[in-house]
This record gives sequence, structure tokens and C-alpha cells, in this order.
Amino acid sequence: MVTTIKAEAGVAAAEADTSGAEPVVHRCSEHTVEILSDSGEGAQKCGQAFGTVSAKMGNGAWTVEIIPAEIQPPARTPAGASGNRIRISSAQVTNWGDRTNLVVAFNEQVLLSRHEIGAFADDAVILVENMWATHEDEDIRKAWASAMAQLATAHYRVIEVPMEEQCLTVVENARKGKNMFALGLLAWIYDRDLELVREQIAYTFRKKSAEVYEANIALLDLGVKWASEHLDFRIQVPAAPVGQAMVVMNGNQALALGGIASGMELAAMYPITPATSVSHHLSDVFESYGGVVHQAEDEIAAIGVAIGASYAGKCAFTITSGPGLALKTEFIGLATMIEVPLVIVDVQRGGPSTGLPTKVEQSDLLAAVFGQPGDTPKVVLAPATIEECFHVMITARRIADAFRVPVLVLSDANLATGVQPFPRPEPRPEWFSPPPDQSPVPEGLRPFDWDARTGLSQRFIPGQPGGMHIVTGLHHDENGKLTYDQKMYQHSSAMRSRKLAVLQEMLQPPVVTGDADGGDLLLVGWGSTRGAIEEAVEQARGEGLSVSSTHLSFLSPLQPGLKQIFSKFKKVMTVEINYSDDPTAPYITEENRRRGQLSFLLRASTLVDVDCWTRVLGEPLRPATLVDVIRANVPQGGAR
Amino acid sequence: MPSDDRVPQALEALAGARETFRAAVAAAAEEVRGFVAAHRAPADGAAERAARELGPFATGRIDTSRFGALFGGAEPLDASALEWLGRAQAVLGEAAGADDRYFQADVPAGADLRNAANAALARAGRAFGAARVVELVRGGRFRETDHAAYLESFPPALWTRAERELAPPLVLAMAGADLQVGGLAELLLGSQKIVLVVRTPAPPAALVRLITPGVFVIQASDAGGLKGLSTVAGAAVGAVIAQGAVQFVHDPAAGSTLPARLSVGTLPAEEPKQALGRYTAAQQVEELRQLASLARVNAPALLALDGGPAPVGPTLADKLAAWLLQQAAVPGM
Amino acid sequence: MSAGCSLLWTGAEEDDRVFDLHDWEGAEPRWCPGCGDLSVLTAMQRLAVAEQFVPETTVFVSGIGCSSRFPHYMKAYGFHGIHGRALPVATGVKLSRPELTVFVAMGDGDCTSIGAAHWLHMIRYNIDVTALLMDNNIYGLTKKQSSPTTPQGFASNTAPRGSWLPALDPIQATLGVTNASFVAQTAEWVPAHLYATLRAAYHHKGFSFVRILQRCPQYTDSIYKEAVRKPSIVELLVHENGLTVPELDRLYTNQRRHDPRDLDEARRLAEASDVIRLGIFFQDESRPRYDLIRALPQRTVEEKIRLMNEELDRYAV
Repeated sequence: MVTTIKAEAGVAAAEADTSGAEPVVHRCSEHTVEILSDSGEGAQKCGQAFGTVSAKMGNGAWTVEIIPAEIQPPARTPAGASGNRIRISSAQVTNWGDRTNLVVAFNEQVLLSRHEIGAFADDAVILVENMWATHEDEDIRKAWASAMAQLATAHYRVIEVPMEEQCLTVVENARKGKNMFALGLLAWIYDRDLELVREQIAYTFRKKSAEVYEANIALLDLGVKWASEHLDFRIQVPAAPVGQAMVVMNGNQALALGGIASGMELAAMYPITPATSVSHHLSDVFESYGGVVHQAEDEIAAIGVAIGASYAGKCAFTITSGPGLALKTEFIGLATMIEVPLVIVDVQRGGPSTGLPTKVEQSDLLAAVFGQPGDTPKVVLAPATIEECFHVMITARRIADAFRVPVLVLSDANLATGVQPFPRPEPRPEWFSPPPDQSPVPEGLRPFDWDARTGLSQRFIPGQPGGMHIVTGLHHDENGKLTYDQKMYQHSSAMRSRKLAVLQEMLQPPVVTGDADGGDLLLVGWGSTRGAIEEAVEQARGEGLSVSSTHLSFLSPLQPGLKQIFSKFKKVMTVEINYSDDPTAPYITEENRRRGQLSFLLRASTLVDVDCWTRVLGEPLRPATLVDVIRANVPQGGAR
Repeated sequence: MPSDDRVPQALEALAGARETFRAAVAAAAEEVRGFVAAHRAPADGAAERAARELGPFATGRIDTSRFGALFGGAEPLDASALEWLGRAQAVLGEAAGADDRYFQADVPAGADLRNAANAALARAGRAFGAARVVELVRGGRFRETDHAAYLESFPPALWTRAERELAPPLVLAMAGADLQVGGLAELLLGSQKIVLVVRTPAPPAALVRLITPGVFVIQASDAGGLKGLSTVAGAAVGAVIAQGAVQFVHDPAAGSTLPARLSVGTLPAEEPKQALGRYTAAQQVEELRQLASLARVNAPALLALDGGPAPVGPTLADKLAAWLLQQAAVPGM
Repeated sequence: MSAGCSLLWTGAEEDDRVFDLHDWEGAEPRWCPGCGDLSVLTAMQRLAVAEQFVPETTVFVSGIGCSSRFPHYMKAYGFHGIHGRALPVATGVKLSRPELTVFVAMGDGDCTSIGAAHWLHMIRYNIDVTALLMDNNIYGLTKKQSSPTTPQGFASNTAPRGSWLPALDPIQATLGVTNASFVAQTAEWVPAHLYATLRAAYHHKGFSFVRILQRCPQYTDSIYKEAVRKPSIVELLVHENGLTVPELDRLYTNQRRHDPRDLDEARRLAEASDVIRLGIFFQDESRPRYDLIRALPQRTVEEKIRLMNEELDRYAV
């Protein structure tokens, strides 16, 4: 029996308890799954395997990690929820979607924590470990009962699963094995190709012994078996045929590979969440390309080493997150002053200060553009997708080299941990920067021989005979010599700044999704929010609302034509994951309202009254939320 | 020639020296690639080149014709110059990716060993020849009649000091009767490493003729005895002789006197009485005596040679070479 | 990382250039007359000629302060960076271009105060860089503020009643760090010793740390006044494994044989005492070197593309 239900819907509880009968198959265009456990129970491995297998089967997929801030938070606490959330779809997906339709939870506390923040769809199906109901500890039994009572007030369908009991039939320590049992449950429910699942398990445990692999396979099979014998429903998310070769990875892996593909051979970093895993991926493979990941003694040294390497002739990069970016400030100023190419990757997290280390925010934009004392013109780019995390590195490196300028790449925790399939990049020789030219410098050339129109100059690097000169963070003239000439202060500042204008002149206006000719409302985004914004716009347009969106990849310099685009819309507002004052809050006026960071930039550069809608909930934007935002912000009488 | 697993073993013993050579050649190949890319007008125009360099992220965001106009590379070289640079790049690229065959050769029976070694090194040295061609083209001094042959063969006599330090190691398979090694001395310069894999009975102490203060010399009965030959500083020569030869090692770093540097295995009880091809018995006896005398006698005449080659101030080439040698000591290589 | 190592430019033709003092003269020094920095510059230029450094493959990196002007005055490649951060920059240069000869010039504020973390870690990295701590015991450029090496009780603008604590001893500190490989102390007023020390440091394979005792004629002229006048309060550490400066034997009779391979003795000698010890305290070339450990051969773009394709295949779906 097959029922077709629309996307977002869960599985009706009415069909329960048909043991022995054929399961009801629900056909959905998309479904969102969540696996929740205490930290260390491996829910992430389960989720990643499920997401990857789904992608391999041709489903669109977007996986995000649910990460506690601590390595081993106390067990069975809402704060300790750890896991993965996978949105799978018949079409390609560009964001994490809305609420979860099916949950597998290893205890009721982690479940509760997600329930309380409204993570689950009203009709979600929940599969939960039930060993806690009969636990020897009375407190635990009480906690279970209380949680289940709370969950019962919602409309979920809760199915208790004896995970521990089942796993113990195969392994001694069920705590280490439930994740593969859970994978078995999901594999059966979603009818995953078990051969692919086994391959994925083999890959996940490639560094472990054969016994470990065998045990995990046994657990997987057990999960499949239990599900087939006890569950009365299955979910079918038909796969869309993929016409081209695809790869699947997260944004940090993409940044790492993109860095290599750009030809850079040195990455200097200091561990910081959520950027660190870029260097994990690099450390794995970089050496085979002749590249070095240097873990420096601190954030400052990391950028210093990268600048030293770049100065010596080959563009290098450094990888950090907000607090690290703050520490690198002085060196970024130096790189700007001595015009050394440099790529700085900032995987943004919640701020200020230590903030929310594992959670997404887009709050480093203004720090990136303006964050250094003194005038430090530099380039700021923001990839919007995981695919762009790969390709942005190649563009960033080329721009850095061409313009002798630091380029900041703003990713964020959403891209960093999100896993998504995208078309396989085809590496080209032109991507890889060649080694430094060591040819002699012709006589008469000067190291900062700025072209008065463009501010561009040719760089001499150590090893070039006749090119000996000094670079200094002090104000200097065309020879690189420090100067006390007032006119030169003005001139050299203009030359460094001019380069941005030259770059901006070769940029193209952003594309408008929706009506390029204008309309009632234009949403403007940047970075990782593109998928959610465009999905919401599409849905709202389906409702007849006159809304469009545009997305900026260049934040410094800004892409041209913005003012003209904005002028075609009745209302323009940015959508961002950073803080802005609620205009209706006490004390907040039109004059003192602190706005979203992109909104601030756009107002300053276009003199258009760009409004903003921003949230800092530590999670990616949900399309459904944005549809509500659109409804509320389309100017009166806007519906067509 | 029949397969002889001592040849791969000998090549294995020279892995470090091969990697040193390979790394330098790969670096040069990359540099030429960069130079050629910058000095060649792209067939499909500056915009397309810019698009390739900037990658897909730039698509629809950067006007690549404007980018290409501003960063279109240097003044394009003429077609002939690019042609020769391209050929040189191909030679360098081929050498950088070369397998074992690049570093080995057979000495035909009855051939002159020195000539065979020189020819083999000249062939391997075409990577240096390619670098020279690049230099000459860039400097506008390239003449096809004089220099084109460098891409085929570039004999050690033309190598610079830096190149001698990066010299491609060589394994020669040969017959024992052809082990007339005297002529090899002039090839054992810089950090040249040569291993002779001797397939047939050989004179007992042929390599004694190569013992000079700065050269590492070893006669071993199997290729395992050559372990570590790559890491020897300076020039080294080894012979793997299965039958009839005395095992000895002359290690210039082992001490300041000749007896300290020379260690000799068991000498044969009887003097050789049979000629090996053109190798007379008397010659074999002479070499054995010479070995015995070098190993046991602290002859004043020899002491004058002690202390290694005359010190010279470090030149750039020395420093480059020294660094490359250190690089060869990277763990795992 | 092995960019720059190539057969081109350096190998194609024999380099028969000879460089004399004139080739090393950069901008006119703007240090005060009598500044110890001038002696160091002279010694370095002499060393450059004696050892025939090649200007284009020699890099001087500095931080901020009087002494950090040093690169301006050597006609080589120079990197005058930011306060305290010369060592990370030098690390980047040397890791990416091992064939370059790299010197670092730092003041006492640079090295022992704002950049102390880098100092400590550079000792452990033991990268083949020669570092000069040009220690005049004061912040000179910013007009007489106490530095960590200012003697206790010595008055400055930030401690007008005298520096509160005992001075930090950079030799003691360096000798205490794991993997130290060359630790020496010299003084600008003993040019022969200064030169011999710089020469030994240059030849040392690994991180060479040289603390140069210096007078600031403006602010700390008094600190070494007695030592300059009375060679007897200077004790030279001499040894055939370290340094011998025969031309000083007549003037500096207070000599102690110290084998720089003896770390325990070096640490004892570095403790506070009535004499000022000049010489190589410790040297060990066998210590692990990060620049060698991390050195990797250059790959061609064809190899990189092949690797990347293999890599992408692992992520393929």
C-alpha cells in the first residue's frame, strides 16, 4: 500500500500496530531526519553515513551537525545533545530546511532539548531508546516518565525501541554500537541501498580493525531486521537522477581542498572552533602535494607565518574564526601596508568574545571589512554554498596575487559542518599558482612602483637579483623606503585604496532571483543563507507575493549596480544571522537602531533605506521562518 | 639483458639521491610552467585565460575580459621561443615524473665503462640541459644549432657545480670483464652516485682505483650492502659483485687517516691467476696488493691527501645544494 | 614547501660575482651616535663580505624598535614588520624558501616582552635562522620605558623609582627551553667577539640565538660603563668546540674553558653572577629541526592535479 503525502508531513499515528502486515509506504518529496545522542555515542557517524548514502543514491541532501560545546558533556542532559540532522529530497537542496520529520534519539533528555526549541514538526515520528523506562536508577525512571509526559502533549508519534537490549545481543558495549543499529533502522525505513551503507561503514572505520567493521555490520543488520519486524511504515523519497559526477563533503573540507587547488602550499593556523577542521582535512592530505599545515603557537604567529611565506613568493593562507580574526588584526594591517598577497579564511561563529563556538552567526562582516585600525582596504568574499567554499579559494588566491592584497573569505559554522553533494570540480592547471619567478629585476624598477591610475605595482620577491628592497609597515615611498613626505602619505593611501576600485570596476552586478524588473520587496543576503532565502522567496512567490532576492558574494568591494537594483523595489531589506535591534523594542528609534551588518554597509554605500531582519539563535535560517518574514514585510497591498 | 633483481635493489639504495634530483627538476618544471603561462598569449584570448585562472566562483561575478586586460601576463614571447620553452618544459616534466629506467643503463659487453657512464649521465642530465635551454631562451642567447641538442643529451662536463650536487644517480648493469673503472674518476664529482651491478665474475679489487680522499667507494656482494649510499655526502661509487670480489668500504667521513676510512673484508687466499677478458691476471693482482697496502699501511705519502677536498667559500650553488641534500634526508625517503 | 628551489637562475651559470662592503651598504643609518646597533651593523656587513652572502638570497626580518631598523641598512631583502612578530615572519620565509639565508633583528622589547611567546616557540622549532637580540635594556624608540631586561632599580619613565623586579635573563630563559640548539652572548663593545659570535651563529645549522649586550647612549649608557672600562669583569667562555678569539687574549684575560656541548654547565654559567659572560653557552646541531622535518619536495602541477582527482574521487557520489 502506498500513500502519497506532501513534503513536510510526518507519518500518521493511526496506522500503528499492524505487525505482520505489509508496512505503509509514504511517498514524500523530501524528509528531514535527526539522530540524537549523548556526546560520544556516535550519532554523528550515523547521520553522516545516512546523508552520504542518500546523496549517493541521488537524493538531494543537506546534513548539519548538532554539536554540544563540550567534548564530554554530562550524559542525559539537554545541553549534551549531539547528532546530525539530514534533510533529504527528491530535488537538490540548498539549506537545512525547516522542522524535523523523523527523529531517532538515544535518550529522552536530548529529545526534550530539541522539542523545547521547536525543532520537530508537529506530526514528527520519534524513535526513542526505551531502556530508561525500566532503569535501575529511580531518578532516571522519573526523568523518563516526566519527559514522555511532556512529549505526549505534542502530536508526535513516539515509538519506543529497545536499542540497548538489541545491541547487547551482538556487542558487549551497546553505548558504542547504537549508532549503527540506528543506521540500520533508518536504512530500512528509507529503503537505502544496503550495499552502499556497508561501503560507507567500511569507509568510516577504514582506520580500525576488521573486527570493528564486522561488529558494526552486525549492528546495522540487526537494526534493519528489527525495523522490518516492528515498524509499520516506510518512507520513500524518490531520488532525482543526477546527470553529472557529484562529490559530497562539508564546507570545511571544501575550503581545504579549494586551498590546495589554488596552488597554495602553506596553511598556518591555530586551533579554533569551528574553523579547525579545515586544517584537519588539510593535514590529512596536504603533504602529498608538497604542502605544509603549520600549527602555530598562537593566532598571531599563524598569520605571521603565512605572511612570511607569502612575502617569500608563494601566497599562503591562514584559517581562523572570530576571536582569532581579532588577534590577527595588526598583521592584516601590515599585509595591507606592505601589499603582500594573503588569503584569510574566517569560519564565523557566534560572537562576541567566545560567544557560541559551535554555532552559526554572520557577525564578522564589519570586522572583516573595517576591523583594522588605520585605513586597510582589503577584499572580502563570502561563499554561499559548500561548492562555493571550494571555488572561492581559487578566486581568492588569484585576486590576492593580482592585486597584492589580503583577501578575507567569510564562511560560517553552517557551511563548515553542513554536508551537501555538488558537481565534481574539474581541477585545471591554471588554478595552481606557479612557483615564484626568480628572474632578475630589470634596473630602474621600483618595488612599490604604483601605477597612478590603478595603484597596481609589480612585486619583487627574495631571490630575484637586483630586487633587494625593504618592506615596512611604516609609511613608505615607491622604493619601499620610509618617508616623512606628507604628500606621499596621501598618495600611497590612495594607491592602496584604488586597487579596490579597480577590482570593483571589473565586478558584475548581483543576479536578482525573482523579478529583475523590480517589485514590492527585495531580500538581500550574503554568505550561507542563500539557500534558505531563495527557497523562501520561491515559496512566497508561489503564494503570489511580489518578492525577489539577491545575494552578495563580494562584500569588499561591493558589487556594482546595487543602488539601481534597489531603486526598483518598494522595500529592500537584508536577511542576516547577526544582531540588530528590534525596532519596536524600548528606547530603539530610527536614529539609534543598530542594524544588521550588511544593512549597515549597504545603507552607507547606496544611501538607500535598507531595512534588515536578523536573528542570532545560533542556528541556520529556516525557509518557513523567512516566508513569514516576507509575508510581514511585503508592503501593504503588495500581493498580486 | 636478463632481469636482475639487484638492479632494482641498487636503485632502491639510491632513492634519496633520486628524490633530490627529482624535486629540483620538478621545481624547475613548475617554474618554467609559470613563466610560459605568463609569456604566452592564450589561444582563446585573455578573458578566457582569466576565467580559467579565477575559477568558477568568478563566473557571472567578475568580468574576465577586464581582469584579463589588466592581468594578461607579460609581453608574449615569439613563437620560436615558446616552442623551445615548451620542449624544455616537457623534458623537465618527463624527468620529474620519470621512473627507475631514467636512472639505469646497460653497459654492452666489451664497451668502455667510462663512455657508457658518461652517455647515460648525459641522457639523464638532459633535465639540466632543459633548464639551460630555458635560461638561454629567456636571455635571448639560444641558438638552435648549438643548444637544441641539450634537450637530448647534456654531458656531465657541462654541468654546473649546483647541478653536480643534484646529479641524477646512475645504476649500470655490466659484465665483470669490463670493470675497468679508472675512467669513472672524472665523473665522481659533486654528489654523483654511481652503482655498478656486475653480472659475471669480476676482478677482486677493481674499485680500488677510485679511492681518493673525497669519494665514498664500496664493493659489496649484494645490493643490501649499499644501504644508505644515498645519504653519503659527496660523490660515491659502489659495485655489487656476486662472486670473487673483496668486500670493502672507503668512507671519507669515517676518519682522518686512510686506514680509519678504509675497511676491508677477507682477502682471497690465492692470487688471481686467470685473465677476465682484457683484464689480465697481473692487473688483478696489482689491484689486490694496492688494496692491502692502503688498508694496512699508514703511508706518509697518502697522509698528504688527507682532510678531504680543499675548502672553498660557500657559494649560492653550495647553499642550494646543501639544502637540497638536507631535503633528501626527509624521514621516509 | 619547496618553492624557489630550482635549477633556474641559480644553477644555469656559475656565479662568479664577488660582493664587497659597498654591496652591503643600504640606507644611511639613523641611529644615535654611539648606539650599539652601529657596531652590530658593522660586524654583520663584515660577515656578509667574509662569507660572501648573496644579497638576493639573504633576508633580514625585524620587528619594531630602534634595532628593528636594521634591515633598512643592509642591502638585502628586508622585512620590517610589526612589534614582537619578527620570528613568525622569519618562520614563514624559511619554511617556504629553505634556500634563503634568514636573519632576525629584535630588540629586548620585541623578543622578551611583546613577542615572548614566539621566542619560546622558535627555540623549540629550531628553524635554521640566526636571531640577534639587540638588548639595550630599555625601550629607546619610545623614549625610555622599562623593558623586561632593565636591571632592577634602574629608573625609567614608566618606573621612575626604579624597575621593580629582577631583570629577565634571556640566556637563562633560552637555555631552559626544550630543543635549544645555539645560545650565545656577546657585547657590542667587544667587536672581535661580536664578529666571531655572529660568524659561529651564522654557521650553526638550526636556530641560533645571540644576545648582544648593548649600550643605549641616550638612556642606558651607565649599565655597562664599568664593563667597558674593566675587561676583568667580563669572562670569556672559550673552547675549541665553541669560540676562541685569540686577539682578545691579551685584553680579556678572564677566560673560562666551557664546552658548549655541556648543557648543565651552560645553565649554571647563565645564573646571575658578578661577571658578564660572553661566549657560546650551548650548541648542539643534532637537535631536531622543524624546517627539515617539514621540508617536502616540490610537486608538479600534473602531479597535483592527479592527486586532486584521486582525492575528489574519494568524495564522489
